[in-house]
Amino acid sequence: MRRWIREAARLYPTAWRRRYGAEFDALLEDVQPDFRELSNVLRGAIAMRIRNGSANWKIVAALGAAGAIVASGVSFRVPRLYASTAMLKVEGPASATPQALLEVEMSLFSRTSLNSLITNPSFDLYPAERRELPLEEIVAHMRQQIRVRLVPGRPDLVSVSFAYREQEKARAVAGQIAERFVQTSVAQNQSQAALWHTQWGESEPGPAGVQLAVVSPANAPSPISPNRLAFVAAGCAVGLLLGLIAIPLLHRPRKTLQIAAFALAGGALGLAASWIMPYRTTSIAVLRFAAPSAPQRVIAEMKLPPAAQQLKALQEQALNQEALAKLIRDPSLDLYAQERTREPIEQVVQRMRSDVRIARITPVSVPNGDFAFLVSYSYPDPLKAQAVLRSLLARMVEENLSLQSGLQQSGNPDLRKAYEHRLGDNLELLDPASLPERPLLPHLRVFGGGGITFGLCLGTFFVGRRRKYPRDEAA
Amino acid sequence: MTDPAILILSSLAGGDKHGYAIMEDVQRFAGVRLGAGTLYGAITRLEETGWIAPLESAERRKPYRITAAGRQYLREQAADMDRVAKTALRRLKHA
Repeated sequence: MRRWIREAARLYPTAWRRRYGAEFDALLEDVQPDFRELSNVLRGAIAMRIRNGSANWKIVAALGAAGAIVASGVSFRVPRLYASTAMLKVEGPASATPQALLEVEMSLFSRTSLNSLITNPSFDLYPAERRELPLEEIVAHMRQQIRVRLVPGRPDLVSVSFAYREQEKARAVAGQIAERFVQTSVAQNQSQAALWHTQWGESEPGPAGVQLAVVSPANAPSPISPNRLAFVAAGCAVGLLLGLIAIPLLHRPRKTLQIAAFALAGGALGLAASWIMPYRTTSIAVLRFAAPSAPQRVIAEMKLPPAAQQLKALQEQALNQEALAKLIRDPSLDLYAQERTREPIEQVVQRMRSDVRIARITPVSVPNGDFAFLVSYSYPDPLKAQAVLRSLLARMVEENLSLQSGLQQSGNPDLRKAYEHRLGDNLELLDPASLPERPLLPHLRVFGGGGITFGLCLGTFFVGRRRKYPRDEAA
Repeated sequence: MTDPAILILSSLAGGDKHGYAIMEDVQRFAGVRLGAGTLYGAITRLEETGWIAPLESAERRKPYRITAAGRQYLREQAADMDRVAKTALRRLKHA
């Protein structure tokens, strides 16, 4: 306990310790070392820091205020977005609207569809980003800028909006998306109706379709200001934090330089590591589980497990040990060549599994309806990443068919027809496996920033440790 | 009466003392145990206001003495306390 009390006494301000340190330490040798004394010394240290720290607090406050001012300035420099909204009228049963919208969205939000908008010469969206980022990232960003919502209190109205930094383009693209919504909906309705009548005949009542029509074209874009309050609060917090870090460093310029040297060395090592690290590229595909297109009585007989359960079964089948080992050993792919020389195949398969990602991406939840999911595979070679993902997708589709093959043997002619014509639960490819455009790793900023942070921590630890040794020797 | 400044001044009014001796003395005459942090917080403030002053010493345990200004302040405070104490006792007697 005496040691802890001595350590607590070192928390007093340096100037105070210079004046009273020796006699205070002598007093601490005389007092009864207990928890009460420790807490008293700690409280005294804090009180003295607050009392003597007025100049320091001014620095902290000044940096906090400076951070808030700079952030406020930055918030005015952040490009303003303009959102344009078009309104669509929905005709048909309200219960079918979410499913109908979802089906159109999955088609419109696909990489192919959004890419056609991005690269359309009359729009030419995100030109600067396209020079620096892979298409996948730009498409993902564009998806976030499109909003499709049922108007509250008006189940027959849907708003479609798009936000962009140029007013004219925001309006033009929002209009185009609304048009495509209607066209895609009409095309899907026609195709579904045609398929239905071919397979089930006129006597079977088909699914109630939903018709969409533009009732209000894309309006004049309204500006979406950046959240300036959040900017100012974040700037103030960063300034205060910097102030708190700067105070002890200002009092010890030599140690500050030493810590800065550690940080620089860490940053340099991080950048060097980013060059040594193997490149990682990711191929991405999007699939969709389509709900059965069959009369209700047939669907009831299908006794389908929940879609999520089916996806899990497919995932397990596609990523099973044997299938992945076969892919790894495929001479045309020759995957994980180095790892195979030093690890058993089971471990390499495990490694490959961790490089595969399967996740649902359907934006809205529709009970017992369709859902889309993303499958990706990361590997250093972009061509191999794409080839492996294609194989995995093919395997998933095959597995889905084989899971349904048992049902095709059914004695019920309607059930047989449903599965023979793939009208049952179906797996469709919305976006094929992409050829990665740019390595996702190594990311220079991530490695450099990580190195600097690590260097800062290491430097603070070592510089802090070194202070103790002379005192211990003196003791 | 638990004001550390008054307790320290009262202790030093009886003679020069270093920190631990002040703690012991205060414990004895007031029954208050001053922690090391509290004691030196008060000593810092008293020295800054000029009510106590350190004495030259080769020892690590530096003794302090009460200054004339400190005596004057203690006298005023003690008189106030005395007046309050007497009033309270008188009223208690008649209650």
